[in-house]
Amino acid sequence: MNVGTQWYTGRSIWQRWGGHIVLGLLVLLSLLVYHLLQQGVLQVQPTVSREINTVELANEPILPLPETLNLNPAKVKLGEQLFHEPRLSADDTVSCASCHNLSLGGVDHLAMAVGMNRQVGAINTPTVFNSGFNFRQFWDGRAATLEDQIDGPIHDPREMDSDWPQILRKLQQIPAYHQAFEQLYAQGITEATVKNAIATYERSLITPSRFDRYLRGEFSALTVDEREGYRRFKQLGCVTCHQGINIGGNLFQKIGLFGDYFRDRGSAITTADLGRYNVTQAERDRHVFKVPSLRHITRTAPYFHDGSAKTLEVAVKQMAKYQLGQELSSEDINLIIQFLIALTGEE
Amino acid sequence: MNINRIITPRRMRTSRRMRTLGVKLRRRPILIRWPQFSQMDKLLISFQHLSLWVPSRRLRVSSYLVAIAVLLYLTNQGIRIDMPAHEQYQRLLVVQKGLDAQLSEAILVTRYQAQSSYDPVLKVLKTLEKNVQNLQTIPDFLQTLNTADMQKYLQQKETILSQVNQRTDTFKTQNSILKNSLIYLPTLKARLLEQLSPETAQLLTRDLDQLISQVILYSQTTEPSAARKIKEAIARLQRTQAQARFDIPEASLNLVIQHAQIVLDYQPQVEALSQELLELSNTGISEQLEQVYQHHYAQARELANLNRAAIYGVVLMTVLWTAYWVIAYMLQLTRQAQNSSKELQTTLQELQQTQSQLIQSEKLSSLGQLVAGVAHEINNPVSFIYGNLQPAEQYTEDLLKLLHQYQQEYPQANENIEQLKADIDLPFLETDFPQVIDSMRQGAQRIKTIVLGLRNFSRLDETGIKTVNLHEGIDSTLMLLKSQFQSHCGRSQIEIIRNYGTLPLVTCEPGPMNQVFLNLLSNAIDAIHDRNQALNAEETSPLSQITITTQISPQNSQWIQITVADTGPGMSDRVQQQVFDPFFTTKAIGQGSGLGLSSSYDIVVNQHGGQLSCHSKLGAGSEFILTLPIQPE
Repeated sequence: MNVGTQWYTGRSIWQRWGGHIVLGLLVLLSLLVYHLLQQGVLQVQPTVSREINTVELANEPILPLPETLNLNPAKVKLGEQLFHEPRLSADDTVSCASCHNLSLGGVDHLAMAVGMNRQVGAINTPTVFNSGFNFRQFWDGRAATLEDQIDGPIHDPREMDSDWPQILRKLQQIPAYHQAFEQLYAQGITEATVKNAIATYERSLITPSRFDRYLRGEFSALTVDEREGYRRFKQLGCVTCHQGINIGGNLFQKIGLFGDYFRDRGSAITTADLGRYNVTQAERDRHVFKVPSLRHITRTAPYFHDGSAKTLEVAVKQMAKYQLGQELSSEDINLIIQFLIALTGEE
Repeated sequence: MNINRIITPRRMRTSRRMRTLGVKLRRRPILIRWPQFSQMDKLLISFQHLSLWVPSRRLRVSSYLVAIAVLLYLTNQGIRIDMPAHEQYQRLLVVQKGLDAQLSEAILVTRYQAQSSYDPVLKVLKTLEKNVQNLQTIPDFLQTLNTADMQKYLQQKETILSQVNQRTDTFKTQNSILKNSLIYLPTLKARLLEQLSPETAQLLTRDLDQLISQVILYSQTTEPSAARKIKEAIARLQRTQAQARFDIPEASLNLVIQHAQIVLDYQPQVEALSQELLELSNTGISEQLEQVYQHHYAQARELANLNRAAIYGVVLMTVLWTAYWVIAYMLQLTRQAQNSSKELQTTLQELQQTQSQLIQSEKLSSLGQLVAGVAHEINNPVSFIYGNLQPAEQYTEDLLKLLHQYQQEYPQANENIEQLKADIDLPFLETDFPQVIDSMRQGAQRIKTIVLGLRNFSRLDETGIKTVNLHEGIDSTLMLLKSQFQSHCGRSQIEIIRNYGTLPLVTCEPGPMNQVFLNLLSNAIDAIHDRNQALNAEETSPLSQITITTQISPQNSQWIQITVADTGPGMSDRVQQQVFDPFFTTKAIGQGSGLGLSSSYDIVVNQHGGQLSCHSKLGAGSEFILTLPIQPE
């Protein structure tokens, strides 16, 4: 009777089992506490923030460019390198900058783009400046973002005629890229990260102008003529399409509301002339294009999707003729061009 | 409370001093006693008869393992409401409703404000797209529930969003055309009138003003009557133009009409589109989605609460289970302690018995050796005496014969001889001498019998199990005790009645059995003598009788029964209960060891598997009944 003896010699059950019991209770207690924490017993009732991303509904149809862009400078720098990288094309001759020449207003000043092997493209090169503010990309708006847009020239046989495996292979062979991507992106060099770097750089390309200062209340930033030009711009209804932060670039519109632009042009109608019809196959989208931005417009000649307007004067005249049904007076044209000049910013 | 003292500094000083003196102190273990112990002990002892089932150690361990496993299972399986995810999703839902409202607002602003930007609409749409995208990932904790209804609404929401996107594109295009004309018409009118001569202008102003005011009215209300009035105004203008009474630039007036026509064409379309967009942004699906989500969330909470309740239940059960088995275990320990103390008492008794037996057997064995030695030593000389008595008698007769011959042959005797003859009283000697011899023979005979009895009793030569006639044992014991029941020294005679039946030979250890008879008989004799001593003064001694009955046991023919009954004073019940206890005696100190009956009991019950019982009544004598198996198993 070992136990009984211990009982009477003073070694109680607590002395023998007390440790085990306390330990067991502690284990149970800790399990309980763990569970309570898991279940969030001390949870607070959710207080839903009523703060919603408020959208400014300003009265002015045109808004100034933002003063700061929240972009990663390192990515912008990498994107700049890639933007000038001819390895993106099949024969290492064409880079983004080949057509979007940043010293020439982000365009090539050609009616139609010229790609690899001097092949002529189907459409006028839109400027890369302020393209981040366009609601879609391309004249027909077939790309939703700048990232998506990159696929267009990359795969176009008349432009770069390349593909991503090829590009990634080329880029991976260059240690500088390898290092830069490793530092900036967890995934390293991939299609998505290359696109993101280029698009980030493109978003950084904005042209703040005197007009932006004017819009922020600095009336003297514009001359009297320029202010009158802006007034006429609004008065004549130009602003119904060319509005918003990018002064255009946020809607589609048909070219030739009054008169037939393409008949008057004379040359045969190309596929590119069908515009958004190519995307939607809807009859009402025939000859419908994305309204281009008017920012930096003086630097991006020639104008229109077909590059048919060599000068601003012609372009304004044509626009008034086909979109307003009006032959504008030279005074109107002059004043409007004065205003458009004020839209030219720093490159 | 008995808390052992922890070694105090003073004590430590002492110990150090003692150590320097060369005394080594053994360190006492420091025992910590739980203060509740003594109270709990008392409580437990008071409940010790409550017999609770005590689970085995394996069962206890496995029960805890099971409890832990169940707890782990419950904590893992149960819906764990991810509060951040829930809050996030709820916020998304609220934002969704807000965005719906903002979309309506933005569309209305672009629709009705003369000059406005589409950026807000696009921004709202973009945010909406992102929000709907975020809404598609339903929080994980709802995955176990059926969220098909939510998914249905989310799918609807996506479809609606893509519809809204399409309609917005069209709306923007058409709205721009409409606005263009609406903005341009007043400008056009002003410029047209500027070109006209005052007379012509006066004629046209009214129609143009009416047209423009109707256009503006129409653009705000989309009233069919306003459309009709616009058409009337256009018709009037066309009529005026056709009359060609005025120098009106045809193109300008046509342009006015064209723009008015555009308003007429596009206003209903834009109106319909904006209405459609407003409807699409106010489908109520967001509200339904929120309702459904809240419902699912409530369900999840309920499940989580159930899970939590289950966990608390298991924990509580475990605690109760622990409490139960601890109590049961402690009760068992208490009971065991009590039992063991009883066992200790029994063991103590056994020890006492063993001790007394040891003493007794030691005594007996030395007595037996003594008796055997004495018997052996006496046996030889007695044999000399007994053996030589025959020749001695013969020789004496021969000598007496010779003396008679001398008397007859020589009748005259001298004086010395006569003197001697007279001195020794020869005739008496002659007659007495054979008697002396005879008496001596009888004495030697008795010594021989006694010696035989002693040897029989001690049986030293016959240790171990033998098959014997018990009557012989009883008789030799009686022989030993003969002096005690014959009257001498004021003691009265005790009558021994041998009521012997026919006994078979019994297999037993004869020595210890004789010991038992000796104890029983000498107790009976002592009892009778004690009574007689007490009564001696007043009255004549009553019946002094010891009856020894032997027979086959009436209960079992395989057993024999020997009864020793005396006419002594009997025993009280209390004495009877203790009569077989070691060291229990009623005799005066120094007279009895208190071991006789206890050793007898041990011999009969423990060594032979028999029974020894006592029946007695105060004043009616005592009766000891001994039963033995004839053939021990």
